[in-house]
Amino acid sequence: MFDAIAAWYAGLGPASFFNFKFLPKYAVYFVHGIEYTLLLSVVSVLLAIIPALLLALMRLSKNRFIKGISGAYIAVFRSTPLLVQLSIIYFGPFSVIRLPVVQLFGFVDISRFIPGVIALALNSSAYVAEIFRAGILAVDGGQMEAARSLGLSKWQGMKLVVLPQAVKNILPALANELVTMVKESSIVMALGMQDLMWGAKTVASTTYITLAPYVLAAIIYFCINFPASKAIEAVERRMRRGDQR
Amino acid sequence: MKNNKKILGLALSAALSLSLLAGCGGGSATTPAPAESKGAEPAQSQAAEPATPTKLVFGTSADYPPFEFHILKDGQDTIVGLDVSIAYEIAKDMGAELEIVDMNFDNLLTMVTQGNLDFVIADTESTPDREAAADASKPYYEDLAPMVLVKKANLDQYKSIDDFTGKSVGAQTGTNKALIVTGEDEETAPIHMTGANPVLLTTVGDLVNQLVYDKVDAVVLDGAVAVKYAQTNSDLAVVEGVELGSVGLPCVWVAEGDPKGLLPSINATIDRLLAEGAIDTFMEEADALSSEAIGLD
Repeated sequence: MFDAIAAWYAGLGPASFFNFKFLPKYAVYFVHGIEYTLLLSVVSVLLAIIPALLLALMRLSKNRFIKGISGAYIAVFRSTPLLVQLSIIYFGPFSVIRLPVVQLFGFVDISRFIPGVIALALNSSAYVAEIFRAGILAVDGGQMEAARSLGLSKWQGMKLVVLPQAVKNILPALANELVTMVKESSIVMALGMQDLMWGAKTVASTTYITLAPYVLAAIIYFCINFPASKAIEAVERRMRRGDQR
Repeated sequence: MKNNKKILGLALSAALSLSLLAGCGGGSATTPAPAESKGAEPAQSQAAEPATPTKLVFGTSADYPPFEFHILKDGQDTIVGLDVSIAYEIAKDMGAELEIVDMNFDNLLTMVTQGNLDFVIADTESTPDREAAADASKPYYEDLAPMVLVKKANLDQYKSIDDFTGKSVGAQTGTNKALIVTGEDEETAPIHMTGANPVLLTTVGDLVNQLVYDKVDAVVLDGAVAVKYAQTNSDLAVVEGVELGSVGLPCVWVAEGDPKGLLPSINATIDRLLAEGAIDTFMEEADALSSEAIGLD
């Protein structure tokens, strides 16, 4: 039985789905790739939160001009491909701003990581802004009216009454945005940022084993994202507990 | 090998300059200043004496063994290959430190045009289109002519270039091999297929996957690369007797007009390496490293 499996595995060609003979030697590309991808996604989404909150509040403003700016930003970033946004930011502003080549942790090149993070954060803030807006609008309008009738200012009502309730709606969607970002960030490979997909591509081209590295990358993405989404579901259930009467 | 992604590059840079002008007024005001001083200074030194930079930024696309690829050297990720060895020699002759930038092939000429890279070596052959966008050195290597890779089982179907009519044929986007398949630039690729259905992808590995899983009938690759894939995968074979002819020789590329005055020194280095026979030695070393990486021992 085991001999048969061993013989099958040994006979796999370079373009087979399951030819993982590049392991363990090339595992380091995947390990660094996972770290790079997680760092990139987490930092991008965290950086996106504050601008996104501002965008969402601007979007809910009564002032048409402020509302329009925010609306235009969200429309542009949600309606154009991420790869194009990434290229424009990398070859535009960051062709003028020359960042020094400094290796963080020995493999994260700052001069590419920072443009990547900024592009992803700008993109993400448009999506997160919509999450915030939906979360705020989902809080019953009566809450703000009650806050105002108790003598709170509009801003106090937002900060002390509406936003704390909105957080419950927002957090699960925000966590989902992070899961999406882990997958979406694979696009930075096009500019030589050394994420998980870049590692797979590099191993594939060096070893001539052209398919299995991508299969491994897919397995790794699944192993990151599936438990993460399950954890989010659990948190969501826990948060809903107070809703039941 | 890899051809005119230049058009996209130009379109992109045009879009960028527009967005810069329109978007950030402050940014565009500071933009021309460094560019001007950068252009003016070396132009003077070029007339008087060759440029002597202390650091050279070298761009390549390290997914193309044996020309440029990643290996693990003592557990450390390292970029090696024929082109990389030449880049080190160029830097050594100028007494400069070498910094390697690895990115998609499509973006390299854009980067060198913008001045973010000092020079590019990526098995990039000279073509009229590319000459219009950037300046080339002397050719440094006489490559094997492109070859057609097919499945060994179908090998006897292909005797001449006409046998590819009506077949799906893959090639790398933006390369001269793509022109052989599409036949859209007769000047660069006089020998080309007619009536083939072109399938253009960015990486060679993806093309080989398409071939192995019967998504394309044939793939046109650089001779050296095609031979290597035929060696490593027993299902694949190189078509004999279909001569595609040479489509330009690989050169070192610098920004148009050579604003940094690097070309005289680069050409001198290439002359020296050719005279010493060092290029062939580098190629053998690169081949050996690539074989070692494939062997996974």
